[in-house]
Amino acid sequence: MKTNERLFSGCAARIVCLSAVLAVSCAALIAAKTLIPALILPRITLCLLAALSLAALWLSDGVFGARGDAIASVVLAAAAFGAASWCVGLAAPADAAVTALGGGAAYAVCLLAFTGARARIGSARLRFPRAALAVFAALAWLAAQGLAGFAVR
Amino acid sequence: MNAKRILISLAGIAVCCGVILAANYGLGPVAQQRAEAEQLKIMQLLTGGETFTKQDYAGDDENIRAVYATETGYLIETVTKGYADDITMWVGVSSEGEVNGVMVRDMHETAGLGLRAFTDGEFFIQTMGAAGDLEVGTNADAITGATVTSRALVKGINSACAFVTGAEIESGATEWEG
Repeated sequence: MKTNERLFSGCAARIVCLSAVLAVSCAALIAAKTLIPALILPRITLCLLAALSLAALWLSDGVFGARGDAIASVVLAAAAFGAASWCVGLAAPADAAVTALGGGAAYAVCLLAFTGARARIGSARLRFPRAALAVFAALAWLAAQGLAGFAVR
Repeated sequence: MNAKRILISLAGIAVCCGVILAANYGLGPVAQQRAEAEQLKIMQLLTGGETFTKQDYAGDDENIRAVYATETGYLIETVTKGYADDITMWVGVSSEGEVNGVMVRDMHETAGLGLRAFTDGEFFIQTMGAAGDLEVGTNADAITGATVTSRALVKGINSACAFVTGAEIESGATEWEG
């Protein structure tokens, strides 16, 4: 089967990986809130949304090799962020739409940066390209710390 | 663009939401029970009282969000505007209008500066026994590098005391200058 005919590629791989990252993160948040009732939850900031996006992108693009379908990926990622924030109870239904917009924007920027980095790393013929992508994702998250004060909700 | 990929994506989102909702449904009641028990413990520590009755607050002070009466006085929840965002505090005030205990319940101030209010015991020790007359720079030392946060905390404490004593207090925005 050709690469572009695989079902688990493109936006499917990206969104499934993003959904997995969101599910694990939200489940961990709920468990932490149960065990530590006095826990103060962080605001949903662009920095946090970028961190989740980068983790999902490393998984989908770096590990599973997802390619293409950028626009569909961004739109569906926005829907995933909005739905997850509403289900976990961090955002009211109206606020979930704002979270979806913020998440979609963060995902779009991260996807653009990640795609460029992947192309550079791919052409460099490194011994551990996935590790290099992971390092890039970590550095990109550090760069996103500059947006830590911009709360989406 | 493959329609099947979009369907797989939507299925992934649905499964994600299902997992989150299941975790909420399963752990939600336990979390609520533990939260209520923890809250009661904190309220007892701050006031020395045993039982609490929520009172309706119809006053003009915008900083006061909730009032609980207890045998020894009141527990008052205040929300004041800090440097980065709102700061929610619980202030235990005796029937004579003196501060018995203070606890920050929610804040999102700058890490390393205002956020130190969570652990700066020296700041809160100086507020014990105060009767609503605290002023940063006069009779209260600010947290180093977090003057606005300190003013917001003091404003909440003064509002709580004023509720009990009936003193007139300005409930405007936290001052940044001076």
